[in-house]
Amino acid sequence: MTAMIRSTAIVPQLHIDNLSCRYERPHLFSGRRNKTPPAVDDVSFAVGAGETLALVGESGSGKSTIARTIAGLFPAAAGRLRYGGHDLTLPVERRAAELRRLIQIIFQNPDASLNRRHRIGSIIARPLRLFFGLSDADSRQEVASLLEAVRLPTDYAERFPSEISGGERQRVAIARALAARPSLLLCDEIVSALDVSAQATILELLRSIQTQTRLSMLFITHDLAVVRWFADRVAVLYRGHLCEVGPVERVFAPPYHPYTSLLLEAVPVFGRRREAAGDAASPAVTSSPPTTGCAFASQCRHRIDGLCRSAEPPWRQVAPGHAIRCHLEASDLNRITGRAATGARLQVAAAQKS
Amino acid sequence: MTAAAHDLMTVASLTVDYRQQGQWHSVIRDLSLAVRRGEILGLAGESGCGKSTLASVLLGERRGERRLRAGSVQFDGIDLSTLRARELRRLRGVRLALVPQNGGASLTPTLRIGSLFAETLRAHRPHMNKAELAAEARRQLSQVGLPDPTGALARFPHQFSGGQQQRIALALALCRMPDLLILDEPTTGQDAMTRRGIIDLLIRLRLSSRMSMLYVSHDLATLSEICDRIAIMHAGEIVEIGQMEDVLLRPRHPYTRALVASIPRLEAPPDPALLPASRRTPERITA
Repeated sequence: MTAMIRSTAIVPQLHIDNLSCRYERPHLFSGRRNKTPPAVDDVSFAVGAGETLALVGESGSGKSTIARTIAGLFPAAAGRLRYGGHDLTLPVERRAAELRRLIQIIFQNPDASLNRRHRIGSIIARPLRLFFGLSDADSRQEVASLLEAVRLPTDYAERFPSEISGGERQRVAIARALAARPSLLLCDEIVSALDVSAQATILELLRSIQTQTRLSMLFITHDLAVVRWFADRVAVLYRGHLCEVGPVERVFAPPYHPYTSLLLEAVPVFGRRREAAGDAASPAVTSSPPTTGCAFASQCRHRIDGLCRSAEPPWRQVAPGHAIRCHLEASDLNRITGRAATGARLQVAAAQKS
Repeated sequence: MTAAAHDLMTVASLTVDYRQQGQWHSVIRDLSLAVRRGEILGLAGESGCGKSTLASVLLGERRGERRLRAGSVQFDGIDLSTLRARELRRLRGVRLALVPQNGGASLTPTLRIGSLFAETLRAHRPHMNKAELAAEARRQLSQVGLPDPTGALARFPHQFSGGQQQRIALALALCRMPDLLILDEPTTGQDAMTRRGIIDLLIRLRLSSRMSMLYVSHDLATLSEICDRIAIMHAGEIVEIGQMEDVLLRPRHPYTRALVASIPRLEAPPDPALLPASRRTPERITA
């Protein structure tokens, strides 16, 4: 399965093999650890140089946990993580400075990730001092050019985070990440809180930086409309389980994993009012995922009784580099999910373009 | 029908100022707007354009650092500025309701969900006994798609995720069956499935009741799914208002056009500069 996902033209740099993560707290009194279901369960993928892999899924699907594990902020319970020749299973404080420099993470909320008592200039200068040993005087010029790179006026260096808008703060967070000259950027819902014009500015900015530097990105989001145009490849995560991986063009076209199909249907169609609510609410998500069978079985409209709840679904390669983890065969998925409204919608769009 | 008869809430030539470091700055300028009976009106604009201030003024909220310099806000013929605090509270509790932007923060952290509902429901349905109150709360919670409503009643707000807190806040507003529901960014930051659930619920309400809604959001795609009309706000003014299809598909104001153009859409490719290098050649989809 891992080999399949890596069969892209680009040489992969980040390798995640069979990663599992678990949040478990020892009981307050007994000290016993209760067995919680893993937040990330046997996830494998790779990100190539200069490539953008989008990781999509609902809140609680384990997207952020994966990013935090790669950044060394959360321990992996099992699995192998490598970046180039570096082992990523080490926590961030035990990683070599070079590795810490190469992988940078940007969080959703810049209000929480920027120190509000520091001026923007000193926020951006910190990685310059840390990784390149630049003095304050030397870093001034570099800070100015980083501010220019994220299209902020250079006099913003003197301001405090509270004195600028949310979109501008997110650009400061990006400038700080870029100051380390990373080769892999972990972007955790970085545009979700911003309004559309600020979103467009930031996406365009990241794209132009990527074109210049061959930066790799793990782009975590729940906004499929952004993924559709911004990513090279996409991995769909459902409650800690990967269910579909492939190039964006493939994943956004039939056959779909039943969950991907559901996610795509949930994206609003711009300019079309819905006159009816969806076909009843999907069955309520139970608080813990099933321990056997397919993680998505309880919500799946195409579940095969007696199979999906008991047996782990196999990975099926449906096209080069495109894999779906489902008991249903590609031809069945094509027939069942390909007719879904979204499939038709995207194909019409594709036909109009060509 | 006269304007007054089919308008539930009317804002006429409203100017609102905020005081900052001793100086008054206007954040809403000469704004006129009406929410019609039974309609869902979308109010869109970027952060800082005054949307949330307008929502707060429509609720009759009064704050020291803010003043209504000119104009009026009328709800069903009642000028909100003439009401005493107690009358305003009664109006807000029964006929006017708000789901605030950060719904979770509006839930009293020390009260269990069951008590929050009991408090709200008792004000509106004084005849209900304990069992009826609990049953009604469960009904409302399952209506907003919260898993395990019975268990939820015994839990505290912090035991729910942000999206669930938002839905609880919505359920609390809905159990009053207000004439006008003001929703301030109810789906922002929520993932696609949660957003779908909230939108489905609002559509069902729209079909089954005559509740009017003012839906404040910067997410034009979501607004287009449920709104009858849309108003676009920019720098404290309404720059364009009309039927949803007219405003979003045939925008006339340059600001609306720019806003519409910047929306990421599943169907339509954006500026080619946004595409990754590997995808700048024409895309071919083989089914």
